[in-house]
Amino acid sequence: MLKTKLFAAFIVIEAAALAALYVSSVSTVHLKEPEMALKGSLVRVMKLTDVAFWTEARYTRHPSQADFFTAFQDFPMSVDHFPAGSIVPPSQIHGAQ
Amino acid sequence: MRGHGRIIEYALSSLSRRKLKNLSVAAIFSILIAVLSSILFLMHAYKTETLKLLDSSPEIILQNMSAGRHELIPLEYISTLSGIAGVGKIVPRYWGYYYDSLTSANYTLMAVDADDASDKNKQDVKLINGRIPQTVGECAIGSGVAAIRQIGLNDDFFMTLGTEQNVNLKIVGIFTSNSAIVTNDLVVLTKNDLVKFFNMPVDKATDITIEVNNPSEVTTVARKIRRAYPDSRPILKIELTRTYDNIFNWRGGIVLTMFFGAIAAFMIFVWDKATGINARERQEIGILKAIGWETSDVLQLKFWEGTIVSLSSFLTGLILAYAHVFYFNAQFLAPVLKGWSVLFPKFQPMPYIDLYQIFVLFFLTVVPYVAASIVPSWKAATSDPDAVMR
Amino acid sequence: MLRKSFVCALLLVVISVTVYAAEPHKPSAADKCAVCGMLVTPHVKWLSQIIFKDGSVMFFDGPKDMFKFYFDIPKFAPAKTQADISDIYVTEYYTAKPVDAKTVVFVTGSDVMGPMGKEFVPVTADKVNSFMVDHKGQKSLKFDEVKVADFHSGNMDKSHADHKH
Repeated sequence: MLKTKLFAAFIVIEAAALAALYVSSVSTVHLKEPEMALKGSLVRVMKLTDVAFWTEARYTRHPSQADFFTAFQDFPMSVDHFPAGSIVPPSQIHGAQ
Repeated sequence: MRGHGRIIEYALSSLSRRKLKNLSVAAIFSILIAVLSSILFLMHAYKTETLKLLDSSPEIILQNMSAGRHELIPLEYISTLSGIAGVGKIVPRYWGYYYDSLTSANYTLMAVDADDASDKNKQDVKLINGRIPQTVGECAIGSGVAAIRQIGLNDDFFMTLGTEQNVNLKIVGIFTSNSAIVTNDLVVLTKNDLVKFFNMPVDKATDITIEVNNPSEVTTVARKIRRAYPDSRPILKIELTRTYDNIFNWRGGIVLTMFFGAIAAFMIFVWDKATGINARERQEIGILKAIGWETSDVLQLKFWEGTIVSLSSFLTGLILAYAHVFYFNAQFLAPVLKGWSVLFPKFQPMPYIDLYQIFVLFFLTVVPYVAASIVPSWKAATSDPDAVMR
Repeated sequence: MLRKSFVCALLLVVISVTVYAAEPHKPSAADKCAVCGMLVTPHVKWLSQIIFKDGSVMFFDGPKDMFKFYFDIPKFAPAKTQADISDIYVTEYYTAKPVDAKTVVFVTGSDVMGPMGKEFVPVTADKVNSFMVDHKGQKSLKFDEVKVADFHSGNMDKSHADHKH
């Protein structure tokens, strides 16, 4: 039964490691709550609206502020200038409402 | 009936007899799980953090539209807006973009108005080394700008849009890197500097933020604004969060492509395994039956073989993905996410985990794999041992 | 000397009067509506409270339940009477801040729903007209004008309305 024991030990170690990672993630989130609150107040007082991930164009830097509904952002057929265009899909808000 | 322990022991022996094949299957499986769950982990972490932060955004942002495009908004709108019932503080925002040809990066310029009472609390911003600019000629920059320009506190920061529009600013603050998700590319300067630099007319702002005291009144306020200024565009906070919900939706964009690409590859892999039970395996089942194994025992054996491979690979993949995303800042995914963005923020994602996603992944990978290892053996196991051994 | 003590007495009166007008309380997470028993903190936009002269406070998850309590104190708090009440606060609709119930107008029959359905929506006097138009209000009543009968008008009491049809 040696192999079974080895395998069981392997699975138990992996499961324990995952559980530990999950616990650490929950506790990190909990520990960083004050930092999140500070970031939240930064967003509030600076009146920020978007995350600074993609800086290449208006509609990737400020997706929530950009005029997605404008036809031909820069010239006809120029929807996806940037690789981030594949991550930032066209907004569905305006059509939905 | 044999005990589960003995069947598992036999399954492990039979797997180790074809060590190379099974190890490579496990490795592929682990990598697949690692890639998929890296994407899921990262997107969920980014999305959760973004939505939590943007919950503090202004209730309504009013943009002026002209010829279907965003235009500067006249400050005279404010007096009309403040007459709408339920409207709280109204503050104009001054901001814009600056393309820095030196580093070929785009910065977001944002103004604070040190003289304006409503802007006073910006002085209390934490998460900054130094302080927010107070007088003309000062600026605070995001950590990404500081890094790409290789400048620090008290250095000079020069921007130009031609001979007339120049500013030379002294850096009095740098936003800490843990706030980079919202501040990375910011250049915060005084209103006077920004208006002069962009040559904006004095009676206009970029847009206007409107506080609404009672959240359930937001849509009514927005409707009244549209009625008063039909060419304006009120952006509600709920639209803002919906935009980001869409962007980081794990069904959306590139995530979908990568996810389905990987799932399809996995399905082909499982399909191949399911249909491709080879002569040797068939023979093995025949021998087992000949020495007295029941059909159910054979199926149990196959179930355990599949479970051993898929479960250990699944767990390994999850551990790899967690370490990759939350300890190594998703190094391998960064180039995909980054695109052409010169100033991509470097920060540790907050480890928000969605257990539901892990369960979905489990049922999309482990369960089909186990099923695929049982089903073809079923046929072999139910047929006559004499026939399959031949 | 006499004048000094008079001033002192006056000051004392002023101070006691200011203390007497109790500030609105902040509910804790465990506080429940004294009428319907629902937790009040999830509905702070509707929070109403009655503060008694002995300093005790009753929270409500909307002005409607506050009025139910006010008109039938013996049922909910047998030890108290209307005369024991020192202050009544409701949350004004447009500012989302607590205000003295005597200073606002209550609008019935509007399309704004509270945690318990139709509500007496507290609105400051100068905003009543805009509220009536925006939210299809039916009647606007000052605190003293609200009567038990108003619970049954304008679909205020849902069970009653169902009964009628």
